[in-house]
Amino acid sequence: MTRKKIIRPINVDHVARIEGKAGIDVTIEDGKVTVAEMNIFEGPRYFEAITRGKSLEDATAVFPRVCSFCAAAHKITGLQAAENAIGLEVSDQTRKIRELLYIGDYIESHSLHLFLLALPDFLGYPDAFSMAEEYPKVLEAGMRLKDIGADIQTVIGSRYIHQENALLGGFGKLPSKKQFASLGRRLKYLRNTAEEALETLVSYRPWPESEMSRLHLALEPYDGTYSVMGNTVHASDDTQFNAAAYRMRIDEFVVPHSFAKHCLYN
Amino acid sequence: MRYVKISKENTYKFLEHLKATGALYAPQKISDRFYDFCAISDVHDVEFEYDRTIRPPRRFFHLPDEKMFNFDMTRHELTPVKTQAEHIILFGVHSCDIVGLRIMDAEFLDEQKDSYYETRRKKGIIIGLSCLPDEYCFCNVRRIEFVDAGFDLFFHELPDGFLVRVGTVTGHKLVDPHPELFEEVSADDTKNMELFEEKRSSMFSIYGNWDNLRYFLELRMDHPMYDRESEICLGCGNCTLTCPTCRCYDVKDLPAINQVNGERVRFWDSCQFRSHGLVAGDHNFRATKKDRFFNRYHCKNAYCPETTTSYCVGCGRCTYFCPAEINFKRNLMEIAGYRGAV
Amino acid sequence: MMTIIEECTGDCRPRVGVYALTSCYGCQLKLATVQKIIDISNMVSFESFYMLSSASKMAADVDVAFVEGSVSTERDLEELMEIRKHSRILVALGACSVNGGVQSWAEGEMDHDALHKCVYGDSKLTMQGLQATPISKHVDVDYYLPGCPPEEDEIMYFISAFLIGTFPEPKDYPVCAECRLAGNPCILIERGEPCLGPVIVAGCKARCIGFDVPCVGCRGPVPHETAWFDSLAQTFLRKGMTEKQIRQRMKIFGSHDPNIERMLHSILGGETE
Ligand code: SF4
Ligand code: SF4
Ligand code: SF4
Ligand code: SF4
Ligand code: SF4
Repeated sequence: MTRKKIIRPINVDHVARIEGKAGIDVTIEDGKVTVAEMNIFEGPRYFEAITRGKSLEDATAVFPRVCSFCAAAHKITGLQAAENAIGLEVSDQTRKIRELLYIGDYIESHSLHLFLLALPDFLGYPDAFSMAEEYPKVLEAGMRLKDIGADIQTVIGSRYIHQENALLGGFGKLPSKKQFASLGRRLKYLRNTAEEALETLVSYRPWPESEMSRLHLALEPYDGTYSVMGNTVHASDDTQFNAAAYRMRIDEFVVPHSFAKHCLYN
Repeated sequence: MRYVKISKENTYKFLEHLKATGALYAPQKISDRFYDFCAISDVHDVEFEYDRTIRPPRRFFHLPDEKMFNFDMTRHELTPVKTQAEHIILFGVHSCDIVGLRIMDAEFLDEQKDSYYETRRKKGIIIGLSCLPDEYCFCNVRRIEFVDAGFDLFFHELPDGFLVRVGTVTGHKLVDPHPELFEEVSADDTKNMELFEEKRSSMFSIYGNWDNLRYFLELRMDHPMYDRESEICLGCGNCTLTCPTCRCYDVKDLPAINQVNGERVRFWDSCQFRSHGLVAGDHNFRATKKDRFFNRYHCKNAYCPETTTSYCVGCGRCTYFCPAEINFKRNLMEIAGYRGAV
Repeated sequence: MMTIIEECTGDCRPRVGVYALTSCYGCQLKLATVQKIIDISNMVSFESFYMLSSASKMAADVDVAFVEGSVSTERDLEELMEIRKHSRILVALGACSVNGGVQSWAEGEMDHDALHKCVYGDSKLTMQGLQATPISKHVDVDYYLPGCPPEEDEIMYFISAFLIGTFPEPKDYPVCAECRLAGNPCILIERGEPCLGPVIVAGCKARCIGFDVPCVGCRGPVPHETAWFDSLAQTFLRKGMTEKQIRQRMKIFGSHDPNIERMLHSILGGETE
């Protein structure tokens, strides 16, 4: 007599507190996970298709719209790609100010994800609003970090979502020395806040260790500093490749249950 | 009227004194082709030879955007906003703009007193500056190329400085404390002023008097010009927002998030916008772009009794700052059949 | 005057839902990061706001729903219908929702099959994508809050207006108006820059021109059919832009405007609807 299989599905229709729309389907058969799918049902916007044949100026204006949390990254990457294509070298100043814009984005996006989106999970709340009363300090610190990240982008890029002031070859108008200095002062002032907030954050709950084998990719900073721009990609398996060779090293493929493609590193 | 002379060098010193008296605004170059009245930090930035400013001087007295009062919806109370005006000193105002301000006064002081405007205007000091016309100017046919009122001081360019007409008591009070800066006007200076005026007159692209223009406009309301030109018009409002005599504004209540407070604001409007003619019941008495285009031509060429001029002072802004390059002067000449260079 | 709350016991705050269809999440992010977000969350009860709260639901019964994103999948369409059914007031939030967003840029140029093929090749997906459309193509929209992303003061104005039981008054004039009042030089006149300010609805205080960058039109065409693409196309031609440049630039955020094809055709010839 065959034993009846025990099948348990877990379906999350709509994952909350992420940027985007996704569901999770997991099936467990006899205690073993047989299906684990992240279903990105966030609709496609076909950026690769709609920008074909368009002018570089217009296309690079559209790219930040890929994602609001990391708009500056998409803006700058698009600009760099376009500049590479036409052989336009930008000045060191432009590179540095772009980097700063990018860092503003980093600070903002990370603060938002950590403090507004993830933190409620650690503390058992549905959202940041409902934990505001109990945990005002850490939330406020997170929001102040978000603010400085946003303000860096606004001062340089015109706003913190979808910066228009970053163009092929440079910028429309640059911030004044005074504006830079005031950002610098605020950043220094916030250093302790940032450290404290991070410590509080990691103290809330032991981080579960995943034992899955994973591969991480990261850019090697172009100037050896802790930066977010560069041309060489390092993988956690100790390999590395030039960013221009990404199509050779990263295989994109379509999975039927998701509008987002999957990738394989080879 | 009293006349004095000031050298160019002393003019800068005088500007320094003005700066100490209040907020000094004067023409500055803001880009390749454009000027604006800017707050002056270094008096050497003042541009004496400018054509026209992109924003008209009325903006200092009738703010483009201003909070009128705060309200409280539970206590049914209004708290007026205090207009704290320091002295606003406008240096370098051309004749057309001086008449423009007088037209504003006619509307906001004489016809219907507006306390917001009045408070600021009382604190205003207007210092005129002579100019040479370009092809956009037509103040002469509007009979305002030489002003005799509406300024505290008026600077007429001389080869070695300025001949200054003192127009008001305020003007005297600006000049009197600085005898070291001013000298008496000589016969040569007067001669030079005459030569300047002669040169100036010869530079206008058209001559005559357009007093009969408004009748032609009324008689030729179905002129094909309106169709042709309104087709090109962008409805962008630049013509009215740069005009020194447009006075239309809109009012809006902005509630606060607390369901209790709020503020009433007013801001410049333009008859080139759809909602300018929108009234209750979704009725619009200027429903088409052509209606709106037509309106400006007639509004600007109506008669202002207080200044005995047209509302248009011929400054040329509405053409110079029209992105569609619609030529107001030429279009008016076409309707009235005036001859002359465009 | 329309009152939002009729009868209530307990939590009498107006119920608000914030939803996304297909978008970059920027409009919600903007809403979530306005300086007074905590005040807002005290004044209203967010019944559904997936980006911020796991206590969300598709679709919750709400007084006001803010819907971000274009209809770009069949699921979007189903969700939009549900949202409409459960909301008393529906506000289209942002360019994707109001104008179809940048994802509509290839409207009239590539149909959905071509788009799909270009990105996914011949692979089949279990979900069905659609040609991006603004939500007003499918449901009644009560108010439009434009922008890519919308401006903070307008978000505050809309919510505050609903809270006191009145309605937000939409702007119907172009960016040029705010540009002039801001004292910028006009870069279209001066340098022939392809500034879309004359046909794009105001509200951003001419943000980009303030940075010496020509407007790309992110707030979408001036409503009430007062965006004069034909006149601006003539101006652009005079400044030396090509027909293709003009058409493409105006369509980044304007491809679903009811007049754009006809107007551009009248000046540039070429494709019509
Ligand atoms: S400035 Fe020119 S294009 Fe703009 S509304 Fe006036 S006439 Fe029309
Ligand atoms: S209508 Fe034109 S020319 Fe006349 S005053 Fe106004 S802006 Fe100047
Ligand atoms: S109606 Fe038009 S032209 Fe007349 S004052 Fe008002 S804005 Fe200016
Ligand atoms: S720069 Fe652009 S938005 Fe500003 S006035 Fe000129 S056309 Fe209009
Ligand atoms: S200027 Fe144009 S592109 Fe820039 S924010 Fe305003 S509408 Fe958007």
